Amino acid sequence: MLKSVFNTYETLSEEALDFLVSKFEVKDYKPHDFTLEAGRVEKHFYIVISGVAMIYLINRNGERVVLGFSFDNNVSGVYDSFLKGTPSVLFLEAISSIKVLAISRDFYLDFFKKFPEMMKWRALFFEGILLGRLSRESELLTLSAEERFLSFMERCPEPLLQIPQKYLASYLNMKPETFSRMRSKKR
Amino acid sequence: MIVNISKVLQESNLIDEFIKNEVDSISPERLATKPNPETWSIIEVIQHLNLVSDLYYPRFESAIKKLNTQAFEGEIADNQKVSWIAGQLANMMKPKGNKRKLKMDTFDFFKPERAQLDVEKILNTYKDNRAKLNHYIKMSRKPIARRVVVTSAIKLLKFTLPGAIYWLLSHEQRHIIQIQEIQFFVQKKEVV
Repeated sequence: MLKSVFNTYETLSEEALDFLVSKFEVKDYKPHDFTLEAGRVEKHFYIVISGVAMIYLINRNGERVVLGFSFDNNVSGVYDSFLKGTPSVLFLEAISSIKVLAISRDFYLDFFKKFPEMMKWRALFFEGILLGRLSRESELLTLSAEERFLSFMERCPEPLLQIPQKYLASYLNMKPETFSRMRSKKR
Repeated sequence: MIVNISKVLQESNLIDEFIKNEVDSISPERLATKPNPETWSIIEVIQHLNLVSDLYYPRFESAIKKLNTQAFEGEIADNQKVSWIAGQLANMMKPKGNKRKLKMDTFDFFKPERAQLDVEKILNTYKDNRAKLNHYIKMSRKPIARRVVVTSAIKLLKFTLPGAIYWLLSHEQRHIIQIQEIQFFVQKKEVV
């Protein structure tokens, strides 16, 4: 798994792979366990082996606003807190039982010092995150609820079809009833 | 009144960060220094918080024991309803920005001892209590938490677990502001 994730943009040397294998550890979380609580500093970078986690914040009205999901083979974590070492405003919570590979911040930073050629991976990975966020922001600001729903359903990965609709509705900035109505209409 | 328990957890975690980043580095002498003879030192404030925990936590435990522990598994109810009175009392305690409104005297049994205080022991107990509070906050995300009912320090008044943790956090936030004020005065006094 580490090979498939880190080989995405740059071929991982055997030495670099050995380093990652020795530093990543397996962690298990039960449904509704937090991998990160808001107010704490993210100290790990994760790769999801199985299960679904969601990233969200609580807005001023006390409502949960879902920003994204991570599932099988995805990289996961709260990157702003991880990179800056400051308390997060986001929660990362397991929706189902999840198994992840986790590497601590120190070993993560050490990895790029030891293997500078992998900086290309790091740059392209965060470029991907940035492009994804920009595309999502444009969708939220310009598309109607129905267009957002249809666009999402076109690209919706299988694991997300299994999670409660209320989380998907929040991600698409619509009421659960609206999401449910559109889903029934599509079927 | 509706209280979002995740938000309570977030605010509680920020207190942990404050303790780790601001209080842990203060010397035991400075922790025990009073800005003036009538007011509390930082360690006395912390001892007061420990006394409050000592009253509530055993009550939580015995109320939780009465319920089936499996009832705390399963779905989440992030927005918990707390009684009007619990909400009012908590909001009275909660600082507005960095200001403590309505300064008030506490019950005698919540006042720190005047005798020599063991700074390290008090601080360690407080950190254990913080971890316990976060545990109770997480328990409060379960719908069943509304069935955990405890008597408050005011005997006639009862709190549900979500109401109690909201009150406890608001009360603690008030004292965190007090700690920041003491820290400021003690530093200023040393400079002068």
